Order: sequence, then C-alpha cells, then structure tokens
Amino acid sequence: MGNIVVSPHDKEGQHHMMATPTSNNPNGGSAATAKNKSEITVLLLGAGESGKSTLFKQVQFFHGVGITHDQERIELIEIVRLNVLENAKNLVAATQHLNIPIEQPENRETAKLIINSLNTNDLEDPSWSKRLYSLWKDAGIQKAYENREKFQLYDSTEYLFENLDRICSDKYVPTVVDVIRTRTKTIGITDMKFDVGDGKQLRLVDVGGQRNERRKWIHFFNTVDAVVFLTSLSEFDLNLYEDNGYWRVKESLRVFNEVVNNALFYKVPFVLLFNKRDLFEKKIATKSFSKYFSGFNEAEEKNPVACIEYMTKLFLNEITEHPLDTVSVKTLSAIDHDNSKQVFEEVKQFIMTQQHRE
Amino acid sequence: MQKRGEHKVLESEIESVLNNKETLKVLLDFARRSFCPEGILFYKDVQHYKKLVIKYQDHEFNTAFHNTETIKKHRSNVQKLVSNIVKSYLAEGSVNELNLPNVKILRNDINAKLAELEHNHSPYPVDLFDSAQVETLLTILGLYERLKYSNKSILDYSTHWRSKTTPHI
Repeated sequence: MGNIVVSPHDKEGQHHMMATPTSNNPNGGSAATAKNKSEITVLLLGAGESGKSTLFKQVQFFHGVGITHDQERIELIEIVRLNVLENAKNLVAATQHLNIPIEQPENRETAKLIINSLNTNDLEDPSWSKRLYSLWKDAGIQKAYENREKFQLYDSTEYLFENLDRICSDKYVPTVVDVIRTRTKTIGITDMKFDVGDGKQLRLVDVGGQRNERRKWIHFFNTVDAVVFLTSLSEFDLNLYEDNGYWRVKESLRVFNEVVNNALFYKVPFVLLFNKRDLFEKKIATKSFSKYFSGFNEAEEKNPVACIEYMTKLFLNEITEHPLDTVSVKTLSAIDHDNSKQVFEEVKQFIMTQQHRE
Repeated sequence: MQKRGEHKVLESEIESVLNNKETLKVLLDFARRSFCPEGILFYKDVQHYKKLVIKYQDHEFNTAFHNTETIKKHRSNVQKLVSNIVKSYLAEGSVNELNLPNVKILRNDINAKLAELEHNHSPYPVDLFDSAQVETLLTILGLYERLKYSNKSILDYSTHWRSKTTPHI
C-alpha cells in the first residue's frame, strides 16, 4: 500500500504528506512491546454506517471532549440541518422512485421546494418546522418510510423529524443527543487519546468505512494494539451506500474476514461489536429476518437472541487464523449513552486484560 | 456585458474556505494528515476545469472561423484535464477515489456523457462534474468541522464569516 497520491496539479503534495502529523501519526507509538507501551492504540473498524463514529462521539463525551461544550455543538448546527434536508430529499425522491403519491397538495408544494431551493439557512424560520412535520406525517411519505430498505436513508430520520420544533429556530443549539444521532460520513482517519490509569493512554482511532476509505486503514495496522470491529445488526435488509446493488451483510462479512485474518492482528485482542441492537429489535418485529438467511429457522425470527446468535456464528465462522481466545463478541446500541459507556468499559477491560496476559 | 458562464452565485462557508488561499492551505494540510485530501483536490481540479471550459467557450464564441488551431488546442487541454479527473478520482480503485454514493453509476454516467460529447463534437458543459462536486462538498464539510475543533484560527474564520453573511449549502 503506497502513500496517498496527490493531484497531478499539486507538486508540493508529497512534501506535505511526509511532514510529521501532529495527531494522526500512524507511527506515533513506541517500539516497546504492547505490555510496556505507554500508549495503547485501538482501531475502530467496520464497513460504512456500522456506528464507529457514533461510538467514537460517545467516548469523546464520556471524557469531556468536543461535543460536551455548547460552543462546539453550535458549530454543528449546519450539519444537523443538512441531515434534515438530506432525509427530506431522500424521502421525496423515494416517493417518486417507488411511485407513491404525496397525498396532501400543500405537502406536494413543500416537497417541490425541498428538491429545488430549500437550504439550511431557511430552517431558521420556525414555519419550516410545521411544513416539514406535515410532510413527514403525509401518508405518502410514511409509506415510503415503511419501505426504506429500498433506498438510502439515515437511521436518525424519525428522530430529526420529531425534533423539528427545536431545530427550525434561530435560537437552536444542538443537544448532545442531536450530535450523537446526526450522521456525518467520516472520511479519512481521526483519533483521540485519554488516560486509562497505570500511566497509560488509550488512543482510539476512528476511520471511514466505505470501500475507498478502507485502503487508508493499513496506515495504522503496524502499530495497532487492539481492534474493535463494528457491524450493524439492523443492516440485514439493506444495500450499500457506495454500491446500491450490494448487500451490506455480505460486505461486512467480507471486510471482517479480511481484517480478523490479517497476519498483523494475530496477536492483538479483537472485539466484534454487533451494533444497532435497538433498531434491530424494532426491525425484526415487522420485517422478516429469515428471508435473508436461508440457514435460519423461520420459527425463531422474532426472537432477537436467536437472531443474534445466528449472526454471531456467521461472523465467527469467518475466523480462520486469529486465536479464538483473544476474540470477544458483544452487542451494542451506540446511540444509547449508558449502554455505550458500559460496553466500552467492558471492551477496555478486555483489551487491558489481554495486554497483561501477553 | 456579462460573459457567458460568469454567473454570480452565493458562496457557502465551505466554498469560501476552499477559495481562500490561506484557509485552503490549512484545510488541505489537515486533510493530508487525516488521509483524506482527495475531496479537496477534486474540488480544486473541477474549479480549474470550469474555468477552462468557460475560457474555451468564450474563445470559440469570439474567434470562431478565425483561429481553429487555438480552439483545437483549448479543446485538447479540456480533454486532458477531464481524463485526469476521471482517472484520479472516479476510476475504481484509484488512489484518490472519492467517497460518493453509488459511485459506479456516477462514473458510468460521466463516461457516457463524455463519449457522447466526443461523438457529436459538442462543447464540454460547465456542469459536467456538478453532482459529484456537491456531494464532495458535503463530505468536506465533516472534515472542516473536525478541523474547527483543533484549529483556533479556522474557528475564528468561521465565526467571522458567519457574522458577515448567512450560510447557504
């Protein structure tokens, strides 16, 4: 894997690339053994929209970094409103694509404005709260929403529409929950460090998950001390953002196989996190799970525990090289603050225990 | 008289950052250290493409039948740039491949348009890469928010920009 190649028009690119980064230095760790190192590097890996950045934001929040402060959340107003607009646009486009009419004439007018001219700045006007909410409640839009596995839509759609009265105001300041629920596609690599006791620091590295982003992961593979791999339980009926004809579960299994069996990770603790348990439980109540997995017993498809056990086997079957006693499997609802805190604490303890064993 | 293609449009905050030499330098450096300069480089190359196309259109408009060699040279330059953009940012597996939704469909659409343009010898449209550029700007926006957390001068720039104007995306 080579360095990132810069544009042919930018002759100084290579120089910048080789400059010592301040925070994202993949070789920032020392050459000491993992046990003696003062810094433990943990990589959050997984395909797109598996929840890596949501967990990363939660960990930032536990440690009083970034989004804890009002001033920093104010900077995210634009992103939250963009999420609202993108969700609205995707829903309106889906009604056209799925041939579902928007029922009320005033909602059809709103839909036209959304597609043609509405911008984030307009959402400062509280009248948009009513108009967008009315559109959201339109029977046509709701029908499209029920069929959301047929197009790309953020998990946070319902949450954002239910909170329009706060978001569409010139006094709006995003709450911590707003920021956690807002989707921002991560590009490249970002990290944070925090103390974990015994004079050690944990460096948590978050990465983009789409196909083009995965080529960048390797920059950190040599210095990694643990891997946390996330996969979304609720993606069983969805296709990829970057390739709409490709099943997400197949992609996640493929990426997991490549990562867990990578020779560089044989000796590092590996955690598999089945995320979005909350959404998954809601989804299987109304959608068929067994339809997507021929080996699964249909009679059990409304039982989340049985479904998760099946998914666990599916993923663990991919492990051919990594020692199984250094693999831990857990479920997570990354949008849930308390659950994230508890699961991340368990993950941290597992990693530290494995390090001491080394 | 206003020249063709010289439309004044409202500039968003992220565009102002990308169009300002100083802030662009800081953002690009941060993007390189975060292993994601491709969106910014793509944006700049597309801006360069737009300028070249407008220049070509103006030249063709003003000097048609007078200097066909110059027109040919202009067209050749545009073709080379388009080819570089497709190879660098849209080709599957290219080192600067963009993170876009349904990139395969987008790539096929652009390639089909290019084939049609060449077949009909039609002028290159200014908006050839617009949908990819808009998607890329949204992606860069997330990076810009990350930079604001770690760079006071960029945060100050953002605050100042917003106090002067209202954002449009």
